[in-house]
Amino acid sequence: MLRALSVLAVGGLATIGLAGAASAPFAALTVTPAGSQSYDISTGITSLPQGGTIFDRDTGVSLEAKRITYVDGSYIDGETVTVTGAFGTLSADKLHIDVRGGALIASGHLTLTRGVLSLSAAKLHYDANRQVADFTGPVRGSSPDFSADRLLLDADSGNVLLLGDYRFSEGPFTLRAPEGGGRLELTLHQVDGAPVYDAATQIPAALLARFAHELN
Amino acid sequence: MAAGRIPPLLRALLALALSLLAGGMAAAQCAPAKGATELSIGNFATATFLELKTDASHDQVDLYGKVCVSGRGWTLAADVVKVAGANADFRITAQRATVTVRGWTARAASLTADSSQLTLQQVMLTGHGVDGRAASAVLDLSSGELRLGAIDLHGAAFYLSGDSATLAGDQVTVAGPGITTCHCAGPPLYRVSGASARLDARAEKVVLSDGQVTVMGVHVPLGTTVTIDAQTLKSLALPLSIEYLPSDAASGEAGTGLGVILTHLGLAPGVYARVGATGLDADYPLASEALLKGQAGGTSFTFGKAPGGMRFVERSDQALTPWLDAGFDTRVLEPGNRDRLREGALHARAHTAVPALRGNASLDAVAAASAQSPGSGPVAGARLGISGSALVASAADATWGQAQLRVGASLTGYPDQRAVQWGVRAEPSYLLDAGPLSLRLAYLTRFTNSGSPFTTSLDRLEPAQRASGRLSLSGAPAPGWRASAKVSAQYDLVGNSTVAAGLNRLNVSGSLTRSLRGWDLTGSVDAVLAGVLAPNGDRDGYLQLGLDAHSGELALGARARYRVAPGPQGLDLLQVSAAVPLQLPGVVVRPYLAVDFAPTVAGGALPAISGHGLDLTIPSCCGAIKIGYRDQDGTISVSLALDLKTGASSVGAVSCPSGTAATTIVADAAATPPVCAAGGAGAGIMTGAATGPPL
Repeated sequence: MLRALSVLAVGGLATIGLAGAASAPFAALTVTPAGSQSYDISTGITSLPQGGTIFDRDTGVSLEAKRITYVDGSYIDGETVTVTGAFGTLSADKLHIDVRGGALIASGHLTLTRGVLSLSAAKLHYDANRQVADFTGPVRGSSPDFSADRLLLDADSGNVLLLGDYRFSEGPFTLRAPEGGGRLELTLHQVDGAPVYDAATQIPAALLARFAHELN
Repeated sequence: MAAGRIPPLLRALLALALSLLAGGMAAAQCAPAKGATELSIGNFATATFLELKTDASHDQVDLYGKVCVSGRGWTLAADVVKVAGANADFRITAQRATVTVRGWTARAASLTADSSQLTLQQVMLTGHGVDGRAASAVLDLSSGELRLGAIDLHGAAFYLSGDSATLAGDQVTVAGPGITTCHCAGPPLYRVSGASARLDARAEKVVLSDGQVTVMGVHVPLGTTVTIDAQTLKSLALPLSIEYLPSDAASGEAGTGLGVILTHLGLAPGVYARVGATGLDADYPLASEALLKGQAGGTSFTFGKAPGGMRFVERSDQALTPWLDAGFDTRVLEPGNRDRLREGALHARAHTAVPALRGNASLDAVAAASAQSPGSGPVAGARLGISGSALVASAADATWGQAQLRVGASLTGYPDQRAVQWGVRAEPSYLLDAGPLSLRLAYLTRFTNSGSPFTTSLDRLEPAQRASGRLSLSGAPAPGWRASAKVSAQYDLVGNSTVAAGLNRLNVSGSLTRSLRGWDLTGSVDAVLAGVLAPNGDRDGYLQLGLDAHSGELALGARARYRVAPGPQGLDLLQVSAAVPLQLPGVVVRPYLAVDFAPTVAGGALPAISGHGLDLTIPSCCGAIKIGYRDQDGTISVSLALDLKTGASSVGAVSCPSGTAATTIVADAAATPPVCAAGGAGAGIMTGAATGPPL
């Protein structure tokens, strides 16, 4: 967990650091303002009204926003954000990173592109510790063509679980959830060097365990 | 067979056709399971199932758990359905699949499908009371045509097999059809087959091409195209005929006695033989019959030995135009036969319908060289004749009936005899069928100079002035009661060689039947009055009262007849009769005995046996075989019949007195046993599930 935030301003470049917590997500952030930067000494809030970029050296997560506010070691808020990480490339109107909890929450014109997967959703809750992204709906995918009430993404494997009233289309086939909703696993494979998804309605126990926190 | 009724076999076939057609409109759907997932496969179908798994590396989708695939007019149910191919070239496979289409439920050992057709293998079929199997079934999704390979269907009453069957639109075509009612192991006793059969559900008929009936290995050709409906079934006949033709004292024609004739022994397409023996009883000389018959196009021929002598008859007809036919005849009927004729003739006929007058008209011309040997001595020479006829009718009206007028005229020259015969004929008639009432009135007038040197069996005309009428009433006056009454009369103003002038027929009859507790009790009265009112020595005149009781095969009867003419006046019949069925192992025996007590009443003599007979009913898997004879007042009749539905109807042969039909296929469920009818044979094919050992 973040225990202290040190700020070193060198020509506009700030590095947010947390000693002894290099393995935690969002624990070693480098902030590069795009313009001015102000620090409210009473609240500890740093504001980047012209936005900037934040880079987590440990997780490789890169954040670029039009406006950023953060409290060192506590949270980061961004507006008109593009985040690139293990989960893919995410764009959203608003972003909140709970540095202590290792969670990323995004909403508003939210899109994600990850390999062959491209989707939009109303809201994302990403557990950086478990590398599970929880998109809530309506969730719509353009590649592959699908929709669902909710989508869980294993950012580690790329496997997907569609939940609720889902639809999945490929070629002449269109799959629809049973009445009352269901679950559909989309498993990422490489076929002839190209990533493709396999679908299955019977969800393997391992995947259920992987998403147990979100499903319970 | 009641007019307008559809024979059960035809009804079953039509039900089959209707089910095929109706099914196309509303195929039974396999209901989606609760909680089922849905997969749309383009415009091809929609599948519901419990589980799905795709295999992208093999382009395959597995659906399993109560899989139901619904297309346009068809459904597929299976535990597992595999869909291969991720684009329009997909292919569906399933094992132990159940397909419903066009009223059928087809359980196939395996199924493959693509976007154009469904193909099923080893198919078990059920639907609308019909079960069966097909080696394969292909449903063309674009045309909706269903093709079945090697079909074998059976309902409660029949088997229908075929090399293939096709359903298209409202037509069902069966190639190589075979139809039988025999539910037997091994070859059926009889089978109706053909090159193809088309079941027209809309018109309620089956059109059979190059059809034939095979009975006990004997083929009976049915013609190039036979339309099987309530009427045309009457033209079918069993190949075996048992006949009893007694001598006719009135005409002097010699009888042939008891004969067994194989009437249609198929030799080649369009050619068959009629062979048999007559005079099998002691009263007539033993004689053989061997006739070769054939038909091809518009030509038919008969050649061979008939009981009367050698016979060769050839007739050729060709339609030269839609309104003109022409052809030639050759007839050689050797002495011993009643006709005793040798003749070659060219003939032509122009004909046209006259729709405005609900009639038709025709003009005939004949040029013949004829030789005849009547009792008066041989006569031979040319005949050149022309004749015309026309029929006009009023509109048929249920209230006012229909009036008809038939007119005709003929002129024939006999150059060798320097003779001319002319004739003019008119016959107005009136027909009315209104509910239980049926009325027919007619008057025949013919003027002629009777100038032909030949006999009436060839072309000699005789004058006639004949009034005739028939009035009948039938109906049910009350529940459980049936009544009928009939009056018929004929009066000839002039006599000729066949009838005397005067009242030649005045018959009044009536009956009243009460159905009660499984019994039909009938009281009847028959009055033959011509011999009473206008006795001339030959005319019958009597009053007969009858009482009959029937319960199934049990028949009891009593009959009393008081005769006025011809012969001495008095009670000449006081008969009681009984036919009692006796169930024995594997056979039902029904002896018949009639005893006449009139000699006892009139003169104290012993009662006389006036009738006796015996029927044997042998159950089989096709129905019951019925063999029997009856001698009633010296008139012998024998019968051989196949009752396809026990207690219902029969396919068989019955021997009738001379001048009436001798062979029948009878099939009406409500029909009485085969009956003799002048000028034709009532016939049909009956279906019915029969039990019993195979033949």
